[in-house]
Amino acid sequence: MSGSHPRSPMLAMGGGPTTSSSIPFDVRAFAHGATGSHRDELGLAEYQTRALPPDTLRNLQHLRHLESATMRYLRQVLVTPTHKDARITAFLTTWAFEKYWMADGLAAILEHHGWSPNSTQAQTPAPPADRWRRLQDRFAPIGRSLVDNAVGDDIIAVHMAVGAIDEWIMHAAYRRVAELDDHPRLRRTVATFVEIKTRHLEFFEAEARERLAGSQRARRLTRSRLPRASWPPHARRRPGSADAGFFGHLFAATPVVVNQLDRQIRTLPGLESLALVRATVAASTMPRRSTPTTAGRHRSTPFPYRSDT
Amino acid sequence: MAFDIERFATKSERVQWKDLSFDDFREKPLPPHTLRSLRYMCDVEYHTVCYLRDLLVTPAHEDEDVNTFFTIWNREEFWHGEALAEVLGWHGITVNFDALKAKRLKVGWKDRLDPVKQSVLGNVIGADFIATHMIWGAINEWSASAAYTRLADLEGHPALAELLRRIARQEARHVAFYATQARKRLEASKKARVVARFALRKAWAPVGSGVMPEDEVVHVMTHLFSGPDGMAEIRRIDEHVGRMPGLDGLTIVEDAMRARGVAA
Ligand SMILES: [Fe+2]
Ligand SMILES: [Fe+2]
Repeated sequence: MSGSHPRSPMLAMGGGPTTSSSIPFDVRAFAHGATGSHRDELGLAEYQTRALPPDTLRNLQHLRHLESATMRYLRQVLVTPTHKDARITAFLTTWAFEKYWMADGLAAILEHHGWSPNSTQAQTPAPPADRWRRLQDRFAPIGRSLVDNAVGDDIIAVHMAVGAIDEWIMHAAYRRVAELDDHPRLRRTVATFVEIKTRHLEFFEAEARERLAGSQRARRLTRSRLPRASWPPHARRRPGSADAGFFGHLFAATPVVVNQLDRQIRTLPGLESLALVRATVAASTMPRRSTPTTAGRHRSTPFPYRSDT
Repeated sequence: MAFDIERFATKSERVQWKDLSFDDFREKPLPPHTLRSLRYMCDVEYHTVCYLRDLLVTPAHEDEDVNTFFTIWNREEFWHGEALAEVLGWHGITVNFDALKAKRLKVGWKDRLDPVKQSVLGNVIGADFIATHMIWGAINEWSASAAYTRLADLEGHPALAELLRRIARQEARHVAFYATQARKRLEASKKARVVARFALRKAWAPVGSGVMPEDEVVHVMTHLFSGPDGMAEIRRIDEHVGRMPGLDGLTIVEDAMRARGVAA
């Protein structure tokens, strides 16, 4: 931005103040600093001397799949009043762009190892029994749209909270994946991605805190809308999804991380009773389909909440 | 002609203007009627995300390449908005997100039902309705491309003309995506052709109408497309549409101009 021209400085686009920081997130500056393709900086040659093991590659497939879910998120969000907030849509435009290129970077690492960027599960065509679910999924935004438009601006708080929680969990997931196989090159790429994602988190977190703190209705709505049983939310709506169980398995051996994440999530106003990550781990370590004789399969969860809303 | 989505994504960059001498605006500011048109175009660019919404509620979102396009396209359009906001800024006109939000809020009712209607239609007719969205998108992009090229010619300002030509070049790539998609999908299905023809005749309106006040639509269309050269551009868009399977003989863009009193 040239300093000499008459337009008021970037702060004009900065939007309202947030409670978590005295400096509002500058969406315009964020858009200006966006990071595109990573392909030239992945150092793929370094994987020739030491390749990533299959477990890590599988994890990268999951991360790639989750990073590419931006249009699915936008599809849910844009049919609600959230789309009217030009500051949020401006943010989401650049957010989707940066995530696209992170997914692309992960795809490049996978392809370099001769792996498909998609997990095998993701590639399997939906079984016939799943067709009805797919149909439901298609219609979902309609019902959503009617309900969420009636709810009004408070729905924005839900979307921002989902964004913040997803960032927290994804950050931890990236770190865990890098840690499991201490590969210096992967570590560096992960560090780059986490840095980019930190800006995403800053926006979502500030928005979520401000909106939740400012409205009891927003807190109530967010509490009722957030899944309690597993993350990511879309994996629960579509059992058999490639993403189901990923976080749970990843964090199963690190209760410290699980507690840390849940503590973080509980700092959001109104979400003090949530134990989302613990539930996610529990859901993934439980047998997926318990036999009918196992009475009250969901209630057998050793945690004090129901697994569905 | 296939559209190379990977190439599109890799080559994509936000439109640049740092090298253009916008300082000239100090000596030779743009006239009010041009600023009015630029303001309209700027808003429409920023509102792209609302069109994206209509596209995402159709089954089109299940295709990974289509999602890639949406991601990159939406960002390029955002930067068109930023570039035009910069030009307006040199003239003391501030475009901020709050004003854009106010405009989106004003659209109100109709806007609320839109995604519902679109989604029901899209899902009931299934994949065939995607073709309609794609030809619609192609016409929007042809229009945008024509509008920027026209304004560059009409307003002899060199820095502005260069910026508008850069934007128009990106619009042309957007055309390539939408037109390729539309052709493929129209060719594949009779139902898609019938639905598209019906929807275009019934509901097509210039880019920005519905979001922007009708007075502004009329101003921009008259400014850019009245007179023989302007109408020639309009007819070229109709010719592009007419070459699509099942859409021959349509003159929807010219009709829309005439309905708004834009004369050759
Ligand atoms: Fe554009
Ligand atoms: Fe365009």
